[in-house]
Amino acid sequence: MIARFWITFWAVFYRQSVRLMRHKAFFVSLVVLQVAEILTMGWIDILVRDMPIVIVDQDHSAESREVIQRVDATHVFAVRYATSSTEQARSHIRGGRAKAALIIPPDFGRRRAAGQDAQLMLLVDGSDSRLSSQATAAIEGLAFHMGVQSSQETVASVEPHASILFNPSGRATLFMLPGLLAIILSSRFMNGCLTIPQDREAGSLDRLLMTPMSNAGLVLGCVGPYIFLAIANAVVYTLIMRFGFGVPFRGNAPFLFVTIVLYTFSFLSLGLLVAAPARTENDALTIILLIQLPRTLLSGYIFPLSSIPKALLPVSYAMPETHFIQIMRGVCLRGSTPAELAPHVLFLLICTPVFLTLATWRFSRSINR
Amino acid sequence: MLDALWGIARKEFVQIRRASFLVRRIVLIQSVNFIMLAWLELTVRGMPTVVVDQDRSAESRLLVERVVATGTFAVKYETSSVNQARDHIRAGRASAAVVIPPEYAAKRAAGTTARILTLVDGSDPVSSSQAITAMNGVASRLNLEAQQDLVDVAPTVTPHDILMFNPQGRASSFTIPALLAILVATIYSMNGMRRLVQERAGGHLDRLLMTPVGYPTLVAGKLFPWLVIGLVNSAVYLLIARFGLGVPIRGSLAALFFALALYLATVLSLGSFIAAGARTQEEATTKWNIINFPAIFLSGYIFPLSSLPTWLLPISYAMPQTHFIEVMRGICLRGAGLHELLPQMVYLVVAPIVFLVWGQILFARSLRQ
Repeated sequence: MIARFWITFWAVFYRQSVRLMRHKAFFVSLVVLQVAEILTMGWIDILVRDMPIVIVDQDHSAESREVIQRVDATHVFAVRYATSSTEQARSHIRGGRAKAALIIPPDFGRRRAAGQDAQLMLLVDGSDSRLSSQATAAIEGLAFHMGVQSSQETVASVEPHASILFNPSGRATLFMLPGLLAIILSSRFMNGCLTIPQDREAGSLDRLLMTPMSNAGLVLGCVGPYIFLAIANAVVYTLIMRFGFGVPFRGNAPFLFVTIVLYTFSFLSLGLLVAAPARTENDALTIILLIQLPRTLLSGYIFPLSSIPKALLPVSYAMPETHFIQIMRGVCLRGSTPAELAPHVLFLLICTPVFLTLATWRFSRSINR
Repeated sequence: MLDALWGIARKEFVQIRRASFLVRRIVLIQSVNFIMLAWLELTVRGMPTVVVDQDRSAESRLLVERVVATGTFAVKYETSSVNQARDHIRAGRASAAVVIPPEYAAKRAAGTTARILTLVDGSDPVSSSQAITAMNGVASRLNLEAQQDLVDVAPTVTPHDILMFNPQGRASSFTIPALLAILVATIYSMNGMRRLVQERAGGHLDRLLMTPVGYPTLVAGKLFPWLVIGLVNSAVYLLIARFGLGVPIRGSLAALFFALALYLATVLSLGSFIAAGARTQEEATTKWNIINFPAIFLSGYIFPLSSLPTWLLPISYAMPQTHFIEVMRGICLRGAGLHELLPQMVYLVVAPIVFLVWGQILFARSLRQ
């Protein structure tokens, strides 16, 4: 039984390697795609800057000009339009040309000079709640500052002092790149699982059935060469990330290597689970591509896990990506020790045999039909 | 000409019906994706937090209550040592720590400035920036209350914020129209591409080219049925979004469907453009992946366009998704008319023509090789 498994495994493994070597376009696309993806993701920044704003200055006083200057100085806003009609400001926002409008009422300067309460009005396009919350926070901060400056009394104030650990500059690159490895590896190498439907379509699977092959050996042999390629790719990627983009590496390198191996096995076995029973390469490919979107969005790669609704968390935690991304970020950015990441490693260890058993079972069922 | 077009469209309908198992599966998976991913938003809630209360006073307990009341934080651990809090963060068990120093209450009572320290795991800038904003909000609120308590009322500046279009700041109203654009592009550019490549891989294309059917007729005929299916499918998504998820549709429904038809034509012709130069399914899929994957990040679906670096913007604006997302948000959330979305509509009219003509050139070239 075991001997049969190994014989099948090595035979299929050999055939698959030969096929892969012939396939030059695969390697070219691998390199080109990865360079493009790393460059794009390495440059995306999440903080909002220079939101276009309309100023409706109905006052035209020294005080109102001071407000405009302060607004421009916040970097959150960039003053794009100036008008005197609120209606026009609204139309700028509705047309999407501006995201906010600041209205300074006619009596602003007079009231400030007289030491009375003055009002400012901010219209914000609330369709993106992240933009609007940053806009209102910026204006409130500005108003608070002006209020404090004009009051002579010292106020017993609370001074919040934030200290950002591990990524003090808030560079999104450091956050995105470790996660990107998980997405790149699985989206590129899951194609290795298409071999079985390819064989089925070509009719060679029926011929193989006449031989004393083992189902598990066949299933594993098909993805064998991809395992080695994926691991090599991950190592090169990690080096580029470390030395090309300056992502720190604070944890244990051998530990990370082991988890990369575990992750490779786990996503390939997930791919096999999906592809093994498919009748044509096309069917399998379609389904692999369709599940790519939730795998990207629910894995904590972009949306932080703490922003994912409770009802969806079980889905997130059932995916190998989620756990591998946590490990990558922990090891690279926070310098976590293996013991601290044990739950995630444990998941990767357990999910592979589970997926593989299910894949072999579904495959055996599909050839009997 | 019209006869040929209709003939090919009829053949495509028959083939779709024959492959109805796969089509049904695509629609099913994509609908599950839609419903699942519709719940995603970037607002962080219940970030696991360590409280390090070194003061143990009524004042400090009030502060902790305020911190919890923001909803951004959920207290998971309490400790008295800052080092232990750091350990929790490094291990990934907590993402933030609030440190209240020993003399906090005494300083507040004495009317001097009291400090609170927040440690934030900066490896995720999305969460950390929201955590800092929330903490600043807590401090501002306390300061404001202290200021109001002063008998000598200082002249204040009161900001009035008006959130237009999405007053509850619900992120889902913002992301769902965009998600629809992304999903429609994924399904239909893939189907447009696959159907043409299949024709070629099966050798039918050579046979068809001997008939008087030209490339434009062939492509138009093959894509037309998908346009019809796409409109029905999108209508279902819109119904789910409107009545299931409460996304408003403030603009004209006719305008929305007109734009939707143009968008479907654009993504379908994009698919045919990808297919035109490709000989095998795998080559086409790789190209499709290069073009489609970055759209999630660059189209404004997740990251606002104003947060992208300037040199990436040309890529963003070359994508159909970017323009249609603007249209969807304009019509659904802001109630904009088509004339207010003119640049986007011009793109949606011009792009299909460009893709088809360019596709024909690529196709003619690939035939000669």
